[in-house]
Amino acid sequence: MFPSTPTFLSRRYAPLVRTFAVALSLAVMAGCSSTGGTQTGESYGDGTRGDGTAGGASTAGTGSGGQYGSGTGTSGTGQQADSRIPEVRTIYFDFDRDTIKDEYESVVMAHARYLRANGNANVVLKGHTDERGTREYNLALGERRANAVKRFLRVQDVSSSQISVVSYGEERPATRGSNESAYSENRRVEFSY
Amino acid sequence: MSKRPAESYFWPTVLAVALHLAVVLFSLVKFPWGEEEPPSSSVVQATLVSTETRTDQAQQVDEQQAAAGAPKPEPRPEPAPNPEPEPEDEAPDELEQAVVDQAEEMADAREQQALEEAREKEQAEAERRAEKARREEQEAAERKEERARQRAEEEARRAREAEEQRKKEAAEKAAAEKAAREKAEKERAAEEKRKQEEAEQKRAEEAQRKKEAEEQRKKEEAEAEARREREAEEKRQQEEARKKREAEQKRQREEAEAALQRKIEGQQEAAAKAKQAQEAANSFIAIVRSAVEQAWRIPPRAGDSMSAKLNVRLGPSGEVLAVTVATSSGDGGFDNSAVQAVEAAAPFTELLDLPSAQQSELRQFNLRFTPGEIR
Amino acid sequence: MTTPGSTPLRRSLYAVHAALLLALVLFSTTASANLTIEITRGSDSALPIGVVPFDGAEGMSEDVAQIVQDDLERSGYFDPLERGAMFARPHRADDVAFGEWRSLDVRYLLVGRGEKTANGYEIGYDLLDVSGGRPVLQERITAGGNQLRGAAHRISDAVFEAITDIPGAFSTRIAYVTSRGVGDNIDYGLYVADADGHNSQEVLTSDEPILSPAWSPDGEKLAYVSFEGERPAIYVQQMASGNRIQLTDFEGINGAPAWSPDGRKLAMSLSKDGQPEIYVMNLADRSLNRLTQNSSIDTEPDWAPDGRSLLFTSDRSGGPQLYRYRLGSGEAERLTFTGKYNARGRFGPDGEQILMVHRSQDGYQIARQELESGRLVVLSETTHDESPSVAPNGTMILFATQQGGQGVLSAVSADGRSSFRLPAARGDVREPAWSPFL
Repeated sequence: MFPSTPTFLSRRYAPLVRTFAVALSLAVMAGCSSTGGTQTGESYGDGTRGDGTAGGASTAGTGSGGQYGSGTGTSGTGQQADSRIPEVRTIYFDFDRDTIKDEYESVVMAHARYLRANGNANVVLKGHTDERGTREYNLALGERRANAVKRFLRVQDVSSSQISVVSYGEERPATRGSNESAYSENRRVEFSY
Repeated sequence: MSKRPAESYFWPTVLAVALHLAVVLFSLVKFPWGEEEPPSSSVVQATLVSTETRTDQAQQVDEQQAAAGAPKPEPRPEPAPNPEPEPEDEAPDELEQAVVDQAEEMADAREQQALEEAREKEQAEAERRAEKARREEQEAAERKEERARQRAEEEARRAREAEEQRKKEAAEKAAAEKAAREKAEKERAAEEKRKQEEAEQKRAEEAQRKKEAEEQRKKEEAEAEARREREAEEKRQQEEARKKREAEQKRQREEAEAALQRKIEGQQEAAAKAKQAQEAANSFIAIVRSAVEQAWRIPPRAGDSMSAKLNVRLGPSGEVLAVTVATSSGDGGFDNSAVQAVEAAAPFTELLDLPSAQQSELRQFNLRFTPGEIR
Repeated sequence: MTTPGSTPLRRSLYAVHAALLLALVLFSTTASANLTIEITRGSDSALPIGVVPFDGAEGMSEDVAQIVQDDLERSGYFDPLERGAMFARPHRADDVAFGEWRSLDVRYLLVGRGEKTANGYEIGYDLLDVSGGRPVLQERITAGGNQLRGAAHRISDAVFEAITDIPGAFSTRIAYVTSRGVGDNIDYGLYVADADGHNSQEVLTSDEPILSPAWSPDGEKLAYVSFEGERPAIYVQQMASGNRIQLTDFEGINGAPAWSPDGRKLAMSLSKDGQPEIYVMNLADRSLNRLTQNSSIDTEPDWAPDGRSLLFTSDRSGGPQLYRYRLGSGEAERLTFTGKYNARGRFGPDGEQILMVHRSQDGYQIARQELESGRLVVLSETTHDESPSVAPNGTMILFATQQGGQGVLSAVSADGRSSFRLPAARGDVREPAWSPFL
């Protein structure tokens, strides 16, 4: 289930928030079996063709959505959780990628649940990149990451009126530093309510 | 071609045979055009020439290409390509007939052409001959000069030897004459003594007569002696004059030889001097180039294709009088850098080391700046 | 006038010299030398120049000669002589003993003097060709009391042009962005300063990001992207008055403004239709014309000097590369093929070469590519380099890099021979933009 990528290992250096995120995702995944697995296989590997990807994801999404629905039905605590804004509000990305990593799908799912459950809640997806590369190009990459999350949420039947996207590119780093540890903390999408 | 084909060479051989056949056919069709008609008159010559020497033909061709001209009755070299018509004779009859027919049809034209070719070749041959004659003439002249020079040298040598011989002979003769003189002197003394003794014997008998005779004799003897001495003196003087003359001749000859030698040496010296001067000029140019290259700060923007030509005029001691841009690079900064390089490298005091003639020659020159080789 | 000495003698020498030259010109005429010596080698090193402290410097608030000297040195074209190595400190051409300076291998010499006047200063200066032993430039300028730095830069411009035949860009200005802080607590600033980094003036400060400042061709306006409305928008601000307008407010990215050479249009990158695409806005009526149509990122436009094509970054081939869009045909042609990352291209002033951020084995560096040959040359020696901006005379490229974890501005000569760092401003400094000639 967990990809043994270098980035995964590098999470050891990430702040506590992220450790918590993993713990949460573990818990959620244990609860609702392997729903997202099918999605990642095809989904956001190629973010350039927005429409095509969105279409493919939506097919898989509806299927898993059904599974998910049955899953939440059995869990009363889950519904209680949907009344609160999920505490994990940042997900991280690999270098030069806009693919939502397996370990963060549960986070996005939690936000999808919350948004579905609270129709008048609005989220701003803030896309960020690390400092490498040019600023305007990074602005575009940050937007691509935020849009990847937006599509995921849309697939989870979140209304588009609840979602807006802003890319900050490399302009708002979470941490300063020119090393992989800092870079990996800065490649992120934030859920801002 | 007479080899039997090996099995593995079957197809190549077939191809080769076919090719040769094709060549023969082709030549049958083609040759009559230019060569078939003339052969009636020139085939014999052709075989003659071709059997004589192959290499000569090659040479002749070369020489014809080299060109020269006036006709001479020699076997025409023109039939060189003709040996081929012979195999033609061995070709199938119909083909030959067809060829002959065709040939006859075009006879006039061919004849004309052949004649022209012959004329051209004769002319070429004549030219070659004339050239050869010219060359031979030149060689003969050179040989003649060489012979003349050798002869002159030989004569000079013989003259030297003869002179030596003459000197030796003169010395011997002088010695002999001296010996003769001494001998005569001794004899005379003996005679005198004897006559004295006789005179004393007869003194009593012949008082007056004897005395007179004695006096007469003495007088005669004195006269004879004087004459002998005079003659000897004359001879000696003649000999001296001759010697002197010969010495003078010898000196003149030697001087002439020395002059010749000096002249030869002088030419060598002039050549050496010219070479020296060229070397001096080259070294001055090298000094200028190196100094200017060291002083040239190439502007950062200068492209490899940029080039500026300056005209430089130097003063008598190598100082720069004027630097003008003869051909601009189109970039003022580049031109400036070139002018500055010359002015910073100046003065070129090495100019003073040159022979004076060259100094004035090298006081004006151009410099072309092209930053091709750097970076 | 500290070394009066041999003035009349020197004048007469000049007269003799001039007469001699005249005579030569008149009488040299036909004699044409046939000998041509080929000079194919030379030195790459900078030109030695002596900038003698100006007379009257004690009474002036700025060391004008020092400012000129620093300007010339930064250009990479000159190698100024240290003051300590000077035998003498003449202030007029007549006082200069060329032999002395020649022996120091100084090729040019700048001498000058300043006088206080009612309104400020009057400065006279002479530029002398030491090798040729003659004056090149003799000028007199005035400066307001607080304009001495500007006066010095004008002298630098004149000296630079007299020697190199290239207009000096020392009197131009630069814009740049600063930031301090981390995460949600960052202060951003937009500043303009003299080309040497001095005299900085604030244009805008914000707690939201500011980026991509771009000078209008007349040097009077600055376009930039500000997030002050919680999302990016393009603004145009008058430098003199400080007045500004918000030009765009589209959904998504509003970025990368670039002025057309005639100043009437602004190219930009907008993602309102999904992916970032290149648009051109007519500033008179704000009408938009979309240039690119595809599902990849298209951003960072820059106009060719002739205004007939635009350079931009696109990842349509997978990674970011530079493309050229021709306004006539509407076709885009890929220009860069060296390496996997080439972005934020800028045309050089002649339009024959482009500058860009190029990812090499070492990192992100500033590179130059000749358009005709396609040859790419890395210019910078640092490895976190971005935002190249070319001086209006093409001699220098200003860019942002990092030093000790801080963003700083650096410049490299167009041929890569020399580089210098601008004085550090507050916090991280980045996104330099070199103004046109002002």
